[in-house]
Amino acid sequence: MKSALDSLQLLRRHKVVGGELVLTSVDFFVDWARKSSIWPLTFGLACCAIEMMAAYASRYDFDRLGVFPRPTPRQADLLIISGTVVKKMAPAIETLYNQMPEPRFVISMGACSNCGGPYYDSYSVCKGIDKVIPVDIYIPGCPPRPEALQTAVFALQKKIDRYWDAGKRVANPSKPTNEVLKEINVAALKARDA
Amino acid sequence: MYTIDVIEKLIQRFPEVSKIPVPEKFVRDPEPQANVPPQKLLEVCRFLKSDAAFSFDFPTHMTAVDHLKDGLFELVYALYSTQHRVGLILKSHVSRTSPEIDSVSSVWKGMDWQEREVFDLFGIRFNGHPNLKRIMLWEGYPGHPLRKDYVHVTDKYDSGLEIGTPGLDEQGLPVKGDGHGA
Repeated sequence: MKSALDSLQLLRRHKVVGGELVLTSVDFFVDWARKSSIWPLTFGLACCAIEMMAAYASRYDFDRLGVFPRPTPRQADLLIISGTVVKKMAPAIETLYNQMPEPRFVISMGACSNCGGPYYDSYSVCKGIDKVIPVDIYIPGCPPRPEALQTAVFALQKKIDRYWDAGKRVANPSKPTNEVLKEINVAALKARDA
Repeated sequence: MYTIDVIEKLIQRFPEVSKIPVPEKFVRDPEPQANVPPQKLLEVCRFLKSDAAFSFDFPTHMTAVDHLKDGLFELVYALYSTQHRVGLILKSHVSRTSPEIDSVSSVWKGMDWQEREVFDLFGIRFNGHPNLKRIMLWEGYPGHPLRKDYVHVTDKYDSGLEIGTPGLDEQGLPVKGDGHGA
């Protein structure tokens, strides 16, 4: 069955043993839901956390992006590493990350969590949180402004768009618009009448 | 009681204690400083706390200084008397090879964590301390980082590598010629 959906990549075919598996736009819906409700863990480490709090507050209002902090890692999708990661804290962050359900994402916020920053030569500071857990987005700055964190959230949304079975499907397929839906409906009517 | 009297009175009571000259030109409102032999420190502190003429009831701070060339650790105790409104700084020197001194946490409870911090970062032992454990670094940390001859051991949080992996030798030290151990 070839349809308008195929050309729009809304319908994806996967060959399985004994036939073909067809996935439809549920993926789009799930991705849309996932990227529109990125729930970070309530977790701050140092001065970057102050900027993060400002980002949550009314001026920058992350709530409008569906980003609002959750009190437990069990409900969180996103871990924002906002500040200096000392070596004593690193195992605790690893535990928090392991407690988060998949899919989980990590934003490394600021110079300290990217690479150790001004404390690079310290005996007690971890030289980047990516030594401990995988990182999706790095934000430069010391500390980054709330706008930078907002940009990181947008970047993460784009990444979530491409997250699922990347490689198997086209990176960022076009989204259904009114014209497309009209086309689909017309095709369906034609198929009925034929 | 005037600030200037504190040291004189203390020396009258303890002849072993000596006055350290303070360069008044460079320090605004300097606190008097006294050098106390380490064997006498606990006794002097007990006296300073309990004697009504002194009553140093507020231990502001204590820290240590590493004099690597002289082979000495200098312990610095900053005290304050809320009753007489005077401050006093006591200094005591211990050998770097066997650094230990009597704990004054039995005199001032507030010195408990201060001494643990000095133990943690300098490795000076405080005899009679109720709970002499590392306070900021974790158990098993290699060495005492505020010592001048401290050598940092690269661990997995520096390099992202476990000890025994390429870039680190058997002791976990970075292989020569590679500044980051990675």
